[in-house]
Amino acid sequence: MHELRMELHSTDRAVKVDAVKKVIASMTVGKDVSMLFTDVLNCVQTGNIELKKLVYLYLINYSKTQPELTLLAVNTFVKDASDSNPLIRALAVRTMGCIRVDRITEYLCDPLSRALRDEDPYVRKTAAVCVAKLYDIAPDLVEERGFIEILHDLISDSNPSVVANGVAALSEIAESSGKDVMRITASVLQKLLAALNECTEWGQVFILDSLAKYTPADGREAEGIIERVTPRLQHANSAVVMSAVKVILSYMELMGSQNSDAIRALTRKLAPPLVTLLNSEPEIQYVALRNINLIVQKRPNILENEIKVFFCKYNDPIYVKMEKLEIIIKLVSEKNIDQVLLELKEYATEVDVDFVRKAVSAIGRCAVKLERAAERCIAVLLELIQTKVNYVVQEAVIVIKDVFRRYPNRYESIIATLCDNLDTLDEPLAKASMIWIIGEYAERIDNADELLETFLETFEEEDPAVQLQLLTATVKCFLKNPEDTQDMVQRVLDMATEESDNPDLRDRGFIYWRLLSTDPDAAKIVVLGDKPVIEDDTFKLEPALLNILIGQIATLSSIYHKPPDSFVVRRRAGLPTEEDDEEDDDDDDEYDEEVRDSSAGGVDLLDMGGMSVNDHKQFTPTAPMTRVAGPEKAGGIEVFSGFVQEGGKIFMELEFSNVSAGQDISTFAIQLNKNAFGLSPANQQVIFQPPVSPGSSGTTRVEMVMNPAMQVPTPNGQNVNPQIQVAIKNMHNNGVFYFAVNLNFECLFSADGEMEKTAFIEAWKSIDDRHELYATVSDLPADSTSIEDVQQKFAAYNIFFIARRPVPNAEGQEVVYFSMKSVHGMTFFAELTFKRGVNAAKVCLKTEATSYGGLAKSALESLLRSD
Amino acid sequence: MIQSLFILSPTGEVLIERHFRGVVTSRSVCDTFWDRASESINHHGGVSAISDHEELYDSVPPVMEVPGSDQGTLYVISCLRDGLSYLAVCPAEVSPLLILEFLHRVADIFVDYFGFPADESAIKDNFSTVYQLLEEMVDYGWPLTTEPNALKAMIRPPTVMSKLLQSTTVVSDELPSGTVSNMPWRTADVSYSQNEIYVDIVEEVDAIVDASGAVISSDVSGSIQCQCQLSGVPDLLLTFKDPTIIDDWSFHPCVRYSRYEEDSVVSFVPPDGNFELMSYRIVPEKVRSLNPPVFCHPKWNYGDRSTTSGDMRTGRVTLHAGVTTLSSLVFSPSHKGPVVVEDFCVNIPFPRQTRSTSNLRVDFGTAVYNEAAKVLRWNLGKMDASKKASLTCSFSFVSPKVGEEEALDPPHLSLNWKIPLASVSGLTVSGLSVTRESYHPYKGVRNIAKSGIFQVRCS
Repeated sequence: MHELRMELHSTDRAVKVDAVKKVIASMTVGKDVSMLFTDVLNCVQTGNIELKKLVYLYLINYSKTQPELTLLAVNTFVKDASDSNPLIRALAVRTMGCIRVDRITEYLCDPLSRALRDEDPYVRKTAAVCVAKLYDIAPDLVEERGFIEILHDLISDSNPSVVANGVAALSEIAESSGKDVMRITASVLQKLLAALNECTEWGQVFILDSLAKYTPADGREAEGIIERVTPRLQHANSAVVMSAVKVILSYMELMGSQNSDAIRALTRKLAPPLVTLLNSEPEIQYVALRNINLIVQKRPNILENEIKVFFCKYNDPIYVKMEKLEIIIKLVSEKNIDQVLLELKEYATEVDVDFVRKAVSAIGRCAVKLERAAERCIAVLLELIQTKVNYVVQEAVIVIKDVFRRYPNRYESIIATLCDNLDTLDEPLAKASMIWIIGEYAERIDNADELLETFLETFEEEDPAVQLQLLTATVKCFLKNPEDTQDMVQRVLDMATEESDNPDLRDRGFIYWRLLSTDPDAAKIVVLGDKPVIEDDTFKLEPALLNILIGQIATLSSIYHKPPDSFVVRRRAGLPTEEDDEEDDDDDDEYDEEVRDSSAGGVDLLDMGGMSVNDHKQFTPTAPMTRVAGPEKAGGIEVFSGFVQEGGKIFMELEFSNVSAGQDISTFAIQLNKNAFGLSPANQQVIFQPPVSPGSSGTTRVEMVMNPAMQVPTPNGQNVNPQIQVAIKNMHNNGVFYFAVNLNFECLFSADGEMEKTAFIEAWKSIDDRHELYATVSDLPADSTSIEDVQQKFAAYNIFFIARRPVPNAEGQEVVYFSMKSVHGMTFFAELTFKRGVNAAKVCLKTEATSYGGLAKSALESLLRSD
Repeated sequence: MIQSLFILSPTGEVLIERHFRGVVTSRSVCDTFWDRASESINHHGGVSAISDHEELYDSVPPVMEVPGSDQGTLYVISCLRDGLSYLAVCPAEVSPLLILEFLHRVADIFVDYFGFPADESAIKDNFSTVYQLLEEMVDYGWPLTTEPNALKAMIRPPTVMSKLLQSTTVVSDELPSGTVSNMPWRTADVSYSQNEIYVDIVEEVDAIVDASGAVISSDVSGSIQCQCQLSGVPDLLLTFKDPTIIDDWSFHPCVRYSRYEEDSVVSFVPPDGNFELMSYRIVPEKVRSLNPPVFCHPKWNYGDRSTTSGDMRTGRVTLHAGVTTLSSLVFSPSHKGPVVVEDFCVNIPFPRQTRSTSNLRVDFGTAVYNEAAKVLRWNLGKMDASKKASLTCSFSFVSPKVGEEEALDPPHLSLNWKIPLASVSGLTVSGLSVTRESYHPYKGVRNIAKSGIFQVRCS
């Protein structure tokens, strides 16, 4: 290290550069070289660009830990920003933007504003990016200095790279601020379309993505833009192609039906570029396939003749194969079914078990989808069953059950073959399916009772799903052939009602028992009644969701097939008021008042009005509600959930939006999986009072208790998983759905977490600094910048104020200390740093319970951010 | 956009770590990634090879969710090149294709700078160049300059000389004018004593063929590769004899797209050096009537099936391979004599249960069995229709459980071949003219047909 230092001070430039290179090399492998800060900084005064670049690289890396020292470099930056060499000017502006030290920001504005109008495009393009960086640190400053307007001007710059960066900066600012800085007006639209031909490939993606968010005024405008975008389909960069596809598909909706010729022509143009994507690297293929999956659901005719390109190659990676299979099923038709069946049969002999199973299941899904080809599909399935490969047989049985449900009483002839393979079945789902078939067709299977008898021998060891099927099948069998099976049904009912501790099984057992004993005819009607015919589920996304996702092609949501808002956490006021349903007013102040009204209402309800001493806001703990399940998953219910503590009790708040067309929903049962906190519901029943009618939503709370038996221990040194897995059963239709919600840790802070100052200091000191956790929270809402307000808000969440003091030698900065204790008895200590006039805070957290530390820190951050 | 970029070595060690947006992503993200990647390493005893140059960890989806970090859920978008894993960490919504394209571009640039393969040692030897390149290619997490020519104007590639001297050849303090010109792909002030341009029309045949030789599915993708050494700023015009053969195309950014739409001619100012001018697919009728120029008929015999599970059994594989005269290829006028297939090679993967091979016999070419991968590689080299080749090989394997005979079915064979002066589509260049410059360059144009992913099924 000492040698390095000597070399850094060498007068020989070559030695110097070499030394800095060595420093950078150690930095990259994670070695701490921050002690050389001043020595490296000294090298910055040089005319050598390479050396300068390396020094700047070092500066960016350590500016965070050495903010004071970084300030020493400011003069160099300012000087370099007006250097005669454009490379150096750009380098200075770029580096200053990367150093996130407040005081540097102040010096940045003037050079930046010069750089944005620099004569050299290289400097302008660097400056454009820098505006976005600055916006992240100090948004007010950006707006004040009119940088956003300048960015708008850059869109019509003469240089393509500048245009690309201008667009990128604007979209980034629009996204992070939620403000409409990227609003597309007629003139902006023309600028963007002109730039589309000029700018770099990356810039084209940014422009196309902004266009996709724009809604053209009418069909003609849409068509006009599509015409300008279509050439992008031929770009070599797959990202450009996919973003262009997105724009075209979104705008096609607007072109209306009177324009069917144009739409047909477009459809023809879309197929070749999509097919071409399948010739790229496997990673790109995967993303493309996930998107094509959406496209074929929306407009199946685009690729209807291209099914062959989705046939799997032997060495496609497994994730590509799985996606291809999905698309094959979506494109299969009477025309190509024979070819597809040959393919699927081929896949069923491959090595990868998951893929083989999916292929077998796909054959069944083809049968369900195409009535005229069902017979051929079943023939193939039977052939596969003959191979006796264990997992192939099981998968075939599972899917044949679906075929039977789709075409009742048509293919019983194959039951004999299935029965020959009974002993192969060892998976619950396959067993349950087979038992269902036996029960359903008991009258046509000579030895149905004997077959069931063999299954009954192991009744107690079976999976609940198998037990339920066995119970039902035996009852069916009894109703069809009462003489021979009386004993058997009696035995099953006994086992189900008396020996089992599974409530579902017991309930079903009792119901059958009662039905059989009071009115066997009614039992026949109920148990043997016609079942609704199942439908082909290959087009399974709901149209509304699909439409949203089509607008999101080429994004992460299109890969996960989830709507974009599930990628952000939604925060809502705890007590919804009627105004919530009204349209948002543009006026922010008014909105604030509404919130205040509602929380004041909440205070009165809880009879805590007496605590109000001044006109500060009153804080009531609210649950941050997150969307955890959509209607497609939860049987027509959209579910939001979060946790809150009130009156010393912990509640899980549930909001159900009934979006089904069906009936009111009111009664549910809830069950939690084991979790890191030992939370479990105090009562399994969840009731919405009044019931939630279709189109409306309701909120209820489920009290949670701590149950050590429900706790999953977290291994030392690992971070706790905040996820809670929940199962909900709708008691009206017995539909069960699952979701996972992350616990917002603040709801677990108990009321006895207050500490003496001295005890706090001792505890704080006793914890090793290495266990400190840091975070910086910026963009705080107005009421999180005053320490008094934060103190009040925190108090409502059992985060207790210890002390505050100004930071010596730093005017306007104050640190505040808080303590908190979880209901499990873990203690956490926090130090928050505020600076007057800056809406950001630094959080430092210490705890012995290191695995929970991250959660406590995130809780503080989100509380600071909430309003 | 990209919050952090990591480059991992083939053993999962972090080689390069770069954070672009002021947030330091914890390295635990890499651990999560590596845990998943190791699954496929353990599973296959190595990474799985897609072709000679491509490989990947197939247990890692290219876009992976990593929940529970300090910042909530992070998305890791990754690709594997030359043994190195390139990881882009994104905290929010982003276009995954953009990131993937960019990662591949980064790897391409490394190859361009450090030579092929750009592997662990190449990166380790050139840390400071790597960082300078990343600095120029990404700013604040956005892809910026990725044109090799523009980059080379700013960052000098390591040369043998500079390595020898360990010195600091000063990068020109002048900003090279081509850096941000309106033609970012072209370096300004190029000058050659001998001006020449070579155009290769390469057509790759992807096909799945069954054991009897019938084509199950096929696809032909063509590309035009140029090697360009022309001084100044030449304007080129490439015309085809029959452009209607081309069905779908995509171009290098230098091509004036509107000219192609109007007149089906390729008009462009070329980048300097090697580049892909365009890629295309040919009309389906041509693909449908495709008759492969080579054949390979495998026959597997597993011996006595009644042996109990776990016992060793002996099987035998027989292959006949050769060149057909019936192929549907179109040959260039300059092509003389019989059809000659070059670099003909058959890869024969053996069943997983195989323990050893014996009695390997070929009457043409050479064959080598790779014990670890259980793949027999049969190199036939140059071959014409007058010769027929055959291979036999015995192998002993562990008999699988009764009812799982299916599991024995061997994976598909893959074939590699190349035929110069031939094309599937018959696409030919009718003219290549240079304007805006006064010299008359040497121009060379040729067709090549070769195998893409060409598989033969055994069942």
